[in-house]
Amino acid sequence: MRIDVILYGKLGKKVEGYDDTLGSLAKIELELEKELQIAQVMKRLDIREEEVSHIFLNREYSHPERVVEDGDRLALFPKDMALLYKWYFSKKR
Amino acid sequence: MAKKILRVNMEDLTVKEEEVPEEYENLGGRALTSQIIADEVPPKAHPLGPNNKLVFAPGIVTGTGSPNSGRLSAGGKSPLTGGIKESNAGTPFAKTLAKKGIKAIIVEGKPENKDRYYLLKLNEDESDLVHADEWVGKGLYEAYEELHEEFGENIEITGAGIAAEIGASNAGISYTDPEGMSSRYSGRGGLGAVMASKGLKFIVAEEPKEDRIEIKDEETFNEGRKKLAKALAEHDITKKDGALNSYGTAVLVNIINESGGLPQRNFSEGSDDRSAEVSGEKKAEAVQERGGVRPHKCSPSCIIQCSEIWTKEGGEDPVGVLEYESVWALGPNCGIYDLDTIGELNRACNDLGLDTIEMGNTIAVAMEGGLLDFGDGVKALELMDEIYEKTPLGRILANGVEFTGEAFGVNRVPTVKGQSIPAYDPRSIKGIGVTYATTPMGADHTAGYAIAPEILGVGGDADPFEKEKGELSKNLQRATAAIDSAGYCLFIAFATMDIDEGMEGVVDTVNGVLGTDYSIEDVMAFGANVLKTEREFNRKAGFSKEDDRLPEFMKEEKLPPHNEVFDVPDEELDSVWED
Repeated sequence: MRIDVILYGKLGKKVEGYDDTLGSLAKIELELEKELQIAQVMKRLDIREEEVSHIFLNREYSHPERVVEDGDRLALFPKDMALLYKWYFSKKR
Repeated sequence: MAKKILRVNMEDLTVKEEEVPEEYENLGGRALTSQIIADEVPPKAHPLGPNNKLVFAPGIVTGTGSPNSGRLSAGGKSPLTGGIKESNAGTPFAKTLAKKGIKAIIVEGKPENKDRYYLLKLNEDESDLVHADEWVGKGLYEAYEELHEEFGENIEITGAGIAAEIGASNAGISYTDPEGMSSRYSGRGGLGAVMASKGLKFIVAEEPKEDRIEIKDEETFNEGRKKLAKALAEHDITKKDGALNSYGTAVLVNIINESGGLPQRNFSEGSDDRSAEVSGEKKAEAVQERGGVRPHKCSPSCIIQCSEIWTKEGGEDPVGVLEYESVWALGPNCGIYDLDTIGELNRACNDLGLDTIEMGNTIAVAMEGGLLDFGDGVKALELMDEIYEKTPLGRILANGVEFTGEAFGVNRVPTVKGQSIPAYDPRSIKGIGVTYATTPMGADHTAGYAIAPEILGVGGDADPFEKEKGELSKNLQRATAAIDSAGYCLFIAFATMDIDEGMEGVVDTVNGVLGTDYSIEDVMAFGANVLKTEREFNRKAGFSKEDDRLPEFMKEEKLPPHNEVFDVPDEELDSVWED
């Protein structure tokens, strides 16, 4: 299965695929052999939970234990982009 | 020395100093502007007529050096909404007024000759009104340069621009930034037109030699100041290298776009990947490459420093800050995904004296109406020239979203009480929709912004699609009214709601200045009282709860990608006003 991962800000610079023309982010396709939790996907990308402020799965503010499925869009924001969401939204599990 | 109120009569061209009435002594900022408007302006007065008044008031702690306290409220009856308006700005002009011992400036009446413009000069010990006709029709960037040449560098300026001269409902009030440019604004609600309708073009305030700030209990104040500074320096969001400091408010472009709540092309979709091209991160990189300034403070006491100076390529022609709301309104909401075009549209707004949110929404509605295509930045800039030239089309556009929507036969008109909706689509983010609907200000994101609901005692998590938002919005609006009155920047709330000491710092500094003994509960009650005063003015002006509603299309048109409508029941909206 395949998912799209969007890594914003500093997280994007940690992987190959960072593209300044897209607006300072990295958009990568990730091949997974099975359904994984977001936390496991992050581990595979060598991204620690404490580096991340907001997680969106298919544009829903999400908890790292949510499971990603084929064709999903996973977006991660770095710690230094934390704003607003913590106050307004509960994380979808 | 006791504080004073300056009463500027534009009919007989006199400026009188008045003692502060006892009932105003503990008021400041929004609490004071709204109370004076409620006390002195007939609710049915025409906003541009002789009976409306314009009030400026620095906050309670403004000028004291407490962190992030450089805020100023402007108040009046709004030509855009027809209701009461408080429009809040961060500018060095705020601390200059406070240091002069000015609690409020009340501008009233109208000169007989409606083509005459005046400049109110606030000198060290007296004030006078002088002719300002030579600046009519001139952009504010150039005018402010000339005013600095004429009156020296040690001044702060307030101005009404070309849009205000034509009585436009979207004319804001401009203030100098720390560089002396016209980039700080009481943008919303058309108060610039009220100012110009009175023949007042500028206020020029000299920095006083004698500091007249009064702090009744220095010890309590200093303790509070330190507590607040510590909280702001420690909190992830407000600290150095935090989101606001690193990227400015536009850090929200990618976040809200990813959430599906960033309105695109006049509120027809909630996300578009091209939004990343105008994100805060992209902008911060461009500012650095060009030799602009980031981070930057909008007023002297700011610790957070979310501001910046955006320039053209090569570091030329500084504009000032491009805020999240401005980038969105003039960008994705118009299908424009180019920071240089957005920068030039923002420059034109600052120069003409226009609110960027209302102007961006107006261009988007004009695009919907077929005047130009979505994404056509070149034509959008040409439309700004129509306002410079005061053509009939320019006059239509400068009157804002509803007026333009009617002129071009558009029914997707995103307004509440005549004021257009900012950069969070309430179909995706329902809590803010309740605030848009119910605040006395017309659609306004700052009227009930991100403050921890659990700390305010409303309990539970806030789910974006959940409908029970009345209680949350009520508490947010009360806290906001209190912060706007204290003279603090709204962004302190991120830190003060998470760190108890920070909240104590806010209350201590207010108590220190006033010599009072307010508790946090007293401060919330104070905020509730401000809202009550504002709502009562609106009721007498003709508003009812039927006006506390979002536009019809938001209840019927689903917003992709979540395909939600705004379905918060009317009873929930009305619950905001129940005790």
